[in-house]
Amino acid sequence: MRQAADLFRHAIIRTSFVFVLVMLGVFACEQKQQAEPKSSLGKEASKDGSPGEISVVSYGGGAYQESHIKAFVQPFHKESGARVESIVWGAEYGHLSEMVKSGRVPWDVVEVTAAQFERGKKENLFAKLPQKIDNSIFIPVEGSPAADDFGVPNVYWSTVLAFRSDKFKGIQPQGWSDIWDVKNFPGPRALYDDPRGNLEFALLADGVSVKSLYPLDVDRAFRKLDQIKPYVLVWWSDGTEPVSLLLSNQVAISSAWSGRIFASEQARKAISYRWDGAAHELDYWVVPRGSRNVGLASRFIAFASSPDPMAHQANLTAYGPSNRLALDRVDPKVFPLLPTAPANWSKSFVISSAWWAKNEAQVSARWITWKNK
Amino acid sequence: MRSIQRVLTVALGLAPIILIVGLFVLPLLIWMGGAHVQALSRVSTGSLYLSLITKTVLLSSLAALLAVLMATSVAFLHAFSGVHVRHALNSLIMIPLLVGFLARNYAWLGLLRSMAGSGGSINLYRLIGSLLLYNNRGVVLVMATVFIPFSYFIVLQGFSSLRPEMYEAARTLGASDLRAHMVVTLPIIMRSVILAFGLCGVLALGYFVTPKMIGGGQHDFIGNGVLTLLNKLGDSAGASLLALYLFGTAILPMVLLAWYSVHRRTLLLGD
Repeated sequence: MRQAADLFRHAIIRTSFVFVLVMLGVFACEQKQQAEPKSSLGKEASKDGSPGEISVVSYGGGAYQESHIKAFVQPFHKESGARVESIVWGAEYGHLSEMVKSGRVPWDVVEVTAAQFERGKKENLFAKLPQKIDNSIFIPVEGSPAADDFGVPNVYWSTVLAFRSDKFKGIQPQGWSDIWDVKNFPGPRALYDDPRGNLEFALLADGVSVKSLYPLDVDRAFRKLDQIKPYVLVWWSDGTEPVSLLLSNQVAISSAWSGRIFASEQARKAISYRWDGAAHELDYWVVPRGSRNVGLASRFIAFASSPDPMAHQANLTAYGPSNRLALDRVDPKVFPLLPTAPANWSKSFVISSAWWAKNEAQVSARWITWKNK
Repeated sequence: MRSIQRVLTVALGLAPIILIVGLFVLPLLIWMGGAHVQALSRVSTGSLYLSLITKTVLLSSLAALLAVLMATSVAFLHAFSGVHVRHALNSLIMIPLLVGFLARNYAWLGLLRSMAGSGGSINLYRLIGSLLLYNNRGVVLVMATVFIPFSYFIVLQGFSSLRPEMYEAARTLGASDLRAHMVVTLPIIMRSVILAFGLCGVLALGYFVTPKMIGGGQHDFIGNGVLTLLNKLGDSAGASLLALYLFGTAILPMVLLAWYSVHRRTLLLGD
C-alpha cells in the first residue's frame, strides 16, 4: 500500500515537473517571438545602402496573387533591389485591427476594401504615407477618389450576374431581376455570403434605380431576398466557388467576381456575364500603423500605383485600374472587359464605402440571423 | 525527506490548476467585469445567439448520435470477432485520424461534388450526391464520420466489461440471442455510449468548417457567427460574448453527464 502511494507520488511529481517545464518553454518562446516579429522580413534600407525588405498582403491567392507577383512584386524587386514577400489574407478586418492595436505588425503593405479604408482611418489603423503620389503617375478615373495621405486607390473589382452560355435557350438573363425570375430562368442559384452587394441587387431587382440606392432600404432589401432565399443552393464565400458551380451545372445563375471568370480559360468560354447593375468595389493600398518599413512600403505603393504596373495587372485579371493613365496602356483585347471601361462603367454602380463603413456591423449580424431563420 | 516530497507533490500538482485559473478563469472574470460588459447590452449578439443555437444544438446532436450508432455497431463487431478481425477494425478506425481534419472536409466536398455532377447512367451516385451536398444532411454525415474514431474507443471500453459467462447464464435461463443482448450487452455498454454521445456532441457544438463547406453556407453554427464577428467585423467583444454563450451551452450537458456518471448506480439499482 505504502509502495503504491510512493509510486503514485513520484508519478505526480514527474508529470507536473514536465508540465511546468513545457509551459515555461512555451512562455519563453512567446516572449522571444514578441521581441522579433514573425516575418523574417522587415528591414528598411540600411544606412550602408543595402535594399530593404517588406511584406505585401493582398487577397485570394491563385490568379489574383499571381497577378500581384508578376505586375508589382517582381518588377519592384528588379527596380529597387528590395525583397518583397507576398502574403495572402481574406480581408479579415478584425485581424488587421487587433494586429495594429497589439503593436505587433509584421505586415508593411495591405490591400483593403474602400469600406475598410474608411473605417480604418477613423480608428487610426493606418500610417501616414511619406511619399506623395502626384499627377505625373496617378490620375483617378472619373468619379473615383484621389490618393489620400493614408491610402492610395488600387483596383476596381466587380460582382456580376453570371450564368452558363448554353443554359438558357432563347432569352438569357439580363439583370438582377432575372435572378429572381425562377419561372423563366429555373434552377438553383448561388449568391455571395455577405450582405454587401446582395442588398443592392435585391433593391435593383425590386425596381429601385441605381441613383436612388443609397441610403439602402435594408428592410425592403431583406423582404425581397426572402423571395429568392428558397432557391439559393449555395451561399459562396470563395471566389472560385461560383465558377466551379456554374461549370459543373450545379447552379443555373450566380453572382460572381468578374476577374475569377476571366482567370480561367474554360470559364471564359462557358460562362456569360452581365455588366448591367454590376457592383464595383474599390481597393486601397495602406500601410498599417506600427509597420517598421513605412518609407519602403510607401515607395512600393507609389510604384504599384504607376501606369505600367497597373496596366500589367489589369491585363492579367481584367480588374479595373483606378488610374486613368493606366487605362491607355491596357491590352485592347482586355479593355472591354474592365469594370472601368466606359461602356461597363455607365451601366453599373460603385458600392458605397461610407454607408457600409457605418452600417456593416449591424447589417452583417442581421444577415446571419436572416440566413438561418 | 517525506515532508519535502509531500510539499513538492502538492506544489507541482497544483501548478496546472494555478495556470488554468491564471490564464483562463481570471482573464474571463476580468473581461466580464471590464469594458466588454457593453457587449452584454447589445441586442444583436443575443439575437444572433438565439438564431444560431437551435440549429447548432440540433445538428450537433444528430451528428453525435449518428457517430455513436455507427461506432457502436463496429465496436459490437469488434467485441464478438477474432483477434485478426479486431486488429483490422482498429486499424481501419485509426486511418482517418492520420489525415488532417480540413483535408477530410475537402475530400468529402470533392467526392460529393463529383457524385452530384456525375452524368451518364449512374443516377444513384448523382442522387446521393444531390441529397448530401449543400444541406444539413451532408453536414451531419461528414461531422459524424469525424467523430466515429472518438466514439469507437469510448464505446469499446464498455464492451470490455462483457464476460462470456453472462451470455451463458442468459441462454441457460432460456433467453434467445437477441434477448441476451438486450438484457446483457445493452445495459453494460449504455454508460460508455452515453459518455461517447456527450463528448462528441460537445465537440460538435464548436464546429464551423464543416457547416460552411459541406452545408454551402446555408446552416451557420455559432462558431461561424464567432468567426464573422471576430475576423470580418473586428468585433472581438461580441465574438467573445457569443463564444461565452456557446461555452455555457456546452457546460450544461457536461454537468448532466457528470451527474449521471456519479448517480448512475443509484438511478438504476436504487442503492
